[in-house]
Amino acid sequence: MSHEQYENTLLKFFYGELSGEQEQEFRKHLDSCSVCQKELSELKLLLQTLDKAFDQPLKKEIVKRIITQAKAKTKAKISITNSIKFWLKPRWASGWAFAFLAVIAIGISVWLLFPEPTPEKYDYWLLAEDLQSLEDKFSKDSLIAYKSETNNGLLDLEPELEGFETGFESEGEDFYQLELDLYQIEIVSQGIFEI
Amino acid sequence: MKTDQELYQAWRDGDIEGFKALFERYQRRLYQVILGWSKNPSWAEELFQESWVRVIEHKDDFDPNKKFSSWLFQIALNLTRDYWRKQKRVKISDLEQSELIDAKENPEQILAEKETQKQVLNALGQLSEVEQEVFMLRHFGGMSFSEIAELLGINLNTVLSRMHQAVKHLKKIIGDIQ
Repeated sequence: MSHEQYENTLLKFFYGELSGEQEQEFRKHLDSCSVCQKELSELKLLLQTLDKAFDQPLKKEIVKRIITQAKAKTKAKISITNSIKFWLKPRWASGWAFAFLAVIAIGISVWLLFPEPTPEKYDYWLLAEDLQSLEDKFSKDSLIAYKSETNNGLLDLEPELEGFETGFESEGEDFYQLELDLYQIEIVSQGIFEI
Repeated sequence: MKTDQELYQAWRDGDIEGFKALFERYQRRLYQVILGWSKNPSWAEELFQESWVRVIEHKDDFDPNKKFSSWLFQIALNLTRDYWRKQKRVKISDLEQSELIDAKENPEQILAEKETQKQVLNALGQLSEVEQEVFMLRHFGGMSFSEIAELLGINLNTVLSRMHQAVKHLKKIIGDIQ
């Protein structure tokens, strides 16, 4: 390597841009080369002078202005991951605990203020009334025929309706259930009248 | 320590702390580089602010696979080149003394440092623009020679040659100051 080539190597050496092997080789050269030693010490002195001249702090108001501008232009991206990460941060722990307790307290208050309503009871006679209305739906002739055969009218349906009757009498049956059961009765009745 | 890429990504995702960390990492270097290029503290402040404004405004245009520092210095260099075109060469002697160092307390020290800074900036002003670009990016910007070559679109040997010439000229000019 000619000495001129060491000029570039010296710059790279000063800025720490030589590979391990290159650096070792250059150090060996530096130990024995007074020209490079002089160059290197002059370079260090020059750059120290420059560093000193440039050692000037930036005005605080400039820094503040830039940060403020960056804040104004930075909007959080709404993504599921980010939202989850955000809301799971420890700073929200007390908030979560408070929200949980509030939900429990509201639930208890509602339960105490508005107890479960007592369900209406449906007895057989109510059912019978309903069944009476069913008569209108079916063929009057078939009903009359059935009544004359059994001589007891709709009350003879009782054994067939036994299963449903229990359901109507139990507490907690709601209107939907009544409707459902009437529908089933209707089918049963229909079957009977078709015989 | 988080990489520039990680900080940039955090900022892009809406975390202002990412920007603050990047700003903290590069503010001093960038200001020094621009000061060396402009040789005028007032203009350096203007260009410095404008560079960061561009970064903020165009953050979504930046390719995160590239180096943030190269992008930042490229923005500053483009702005400075515009400034050079408008101002031509600014003679440091034209500057007001009060524009330079004002953070020290000792009046004698202030005067001495102002004088040194004035001479150093004047010395830098005597380099060619291409020498100034390379020298400031390497010494104050902390960019490697190969990164500078990539940023300026020239080969590595040209970068090293310009750096060598810049150092040689500065030694000659500043040698008298020392």
